[in-house]
Amino acid sequence: MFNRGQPVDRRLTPGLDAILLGDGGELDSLGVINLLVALEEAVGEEFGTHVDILTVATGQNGAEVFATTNGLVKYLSSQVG
Amino acid sequence: MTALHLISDFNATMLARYLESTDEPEAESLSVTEAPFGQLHRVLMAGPSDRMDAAIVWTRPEGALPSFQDVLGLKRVDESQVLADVEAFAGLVLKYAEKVPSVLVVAWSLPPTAPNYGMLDYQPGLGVAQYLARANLHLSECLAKAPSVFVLDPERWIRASMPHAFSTKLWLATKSPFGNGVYKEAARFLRAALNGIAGRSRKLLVLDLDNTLWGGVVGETGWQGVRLGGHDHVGEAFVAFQTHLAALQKRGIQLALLSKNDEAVALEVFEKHPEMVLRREDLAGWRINWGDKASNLTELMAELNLGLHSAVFIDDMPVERARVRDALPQVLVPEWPKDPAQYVDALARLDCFQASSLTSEDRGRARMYASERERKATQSLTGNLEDWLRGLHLVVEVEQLGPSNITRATQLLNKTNQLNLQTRRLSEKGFADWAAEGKRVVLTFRVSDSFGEAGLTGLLSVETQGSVAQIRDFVMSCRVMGRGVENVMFAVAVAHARATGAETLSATYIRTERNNPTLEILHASGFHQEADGLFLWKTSEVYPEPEFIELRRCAAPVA
Repeated sequence: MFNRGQPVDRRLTPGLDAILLGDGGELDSLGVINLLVALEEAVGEEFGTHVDILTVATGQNGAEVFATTNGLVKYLSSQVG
Repeated sequence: MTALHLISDFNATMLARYLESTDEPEAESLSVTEAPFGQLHRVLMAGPSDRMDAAIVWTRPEGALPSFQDVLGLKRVDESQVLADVEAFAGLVLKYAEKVPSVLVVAWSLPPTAPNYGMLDYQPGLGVAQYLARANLHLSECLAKAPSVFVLDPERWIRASMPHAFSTKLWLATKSPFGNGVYKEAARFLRAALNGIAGRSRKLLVLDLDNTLWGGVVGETGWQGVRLGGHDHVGEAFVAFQTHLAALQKRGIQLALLSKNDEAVALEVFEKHPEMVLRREDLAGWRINWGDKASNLTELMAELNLGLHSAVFIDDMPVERARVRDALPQVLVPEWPKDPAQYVDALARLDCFQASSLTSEDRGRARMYASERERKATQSLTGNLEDWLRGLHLVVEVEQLGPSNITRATQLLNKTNQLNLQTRRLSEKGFADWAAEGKRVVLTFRVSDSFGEAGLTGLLSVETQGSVAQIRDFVMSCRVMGRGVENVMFAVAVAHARATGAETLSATYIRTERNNPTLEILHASGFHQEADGLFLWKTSEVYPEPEFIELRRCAAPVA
């Protein structure tokens, strides 16, 4: 869903292994923020609950938690589970 | 590659990315340079540091107008102060526009979270919405004097991106007031606008009939049985679609038909059905028979003297769409919804019809095509071509380029592909500036005959240097081809060259993918071909004007 809305040359590799934050990250900081805010909106619509992903991502352990799309998916599952 | 300067008081990087990246295979490449953040007024004042083809100016009202910060603080603000700020901002844009061929200015908008007076928000001298509307109107008035500056309405992009058009979080985190959907829509629109400015917009919409213009198959039911209007939601959907097509035609987009049907039976619907919005006189042409649609479309485009790049084809049948798309890739064939209730939406999303100006010739073009059909019908009854041309009572009026004709002349220069000597593309201002320099003359030609007005359909510019005069622009609408108008233009060019003291008049043909008809005209013109693409005429020799055309000179500079 995120990729569909992105410029064609700035899309994330599909799957769970795409690197989000840190070395080798596929998106620049603007891309990461856009992804996380889009996810917040989608989660709000789908589950009727607000998850503040951006604040967690920019917090102390954010780089570890959201290193890959897999980490992001795990985090979201734990929040809306 | 088109170089774009993006000037904004907010983070518009996502817009730049959408502009540079597209999945349309034939799209023009754009190179976008973002102006430094937070330096809006300085950038406008200084102008671009590199050569730019166009600029986009998109600001927030509180970023462009100092007094609007007080408006948003719900403080008492004198309206004249807001309008003065608008004038100052418009002045900067106009100054900047002197250095760039085209400037696209996005009108101001506010997020739904902006402070407001609730039910009093449209009260004059008080409401934020009222100030915003006044500011936008005044901006468009101030910028109207510059033909190369266009004020764009962002509300369509915003509505199309709801409910995520605005994001407070994105604003707080990135200083971008809009969600990505708005930038994506804006980029689509801006690309189309740039195509329009460059003369690459589509001019003709070719439509299927059964289940496209009306519901059902007219060959089965007759005109009385088609679904059209009649308090039936399907019938009403086709009426709504036709109403939107008629409005599109008022913008200068021509309509034509391409249908597998019996012609007489199909056209009966246009004549007899009381709820038809479109009538025969609204159509530039048609091919209604049982033949292959791709071949028919090729023929139709030749009849209308339009290139295939000008056409959009709409058909409810996927197989017909695929056939035309495969055979004629230059024709735009959009996917089309199955549900007629979605036709209007699908039409509204076709932004390939953008034009940078709208002239009376555009509005009346359907009538001109109808006259042309009548003219050709008469020609087929008349054996000798010259006798027939004599019977047309052709009148050609020559006038120098000036404020009253520059918009149409520039449009003709930029939109004409087939009969265009050098295919120069210039903005209105660029063309006027060029004409004012050196020993140059730009002449326009209006053509009329006993069937009606063809309007301003010819353009000639001649530049003299010493003993040599050179035709820079020889541009003619295909609608007047084959009537001797080209010979009148050559005669005027030769007479002008002689009057300026030139001994030779030259015409250098610059080949493009589509201007071979110009070469054919040059070969038939009597000009001596000196080298590949170079044609000469000695001005000591008078160029013969066709006897059957009355030439009226409206301006002194024509010799």
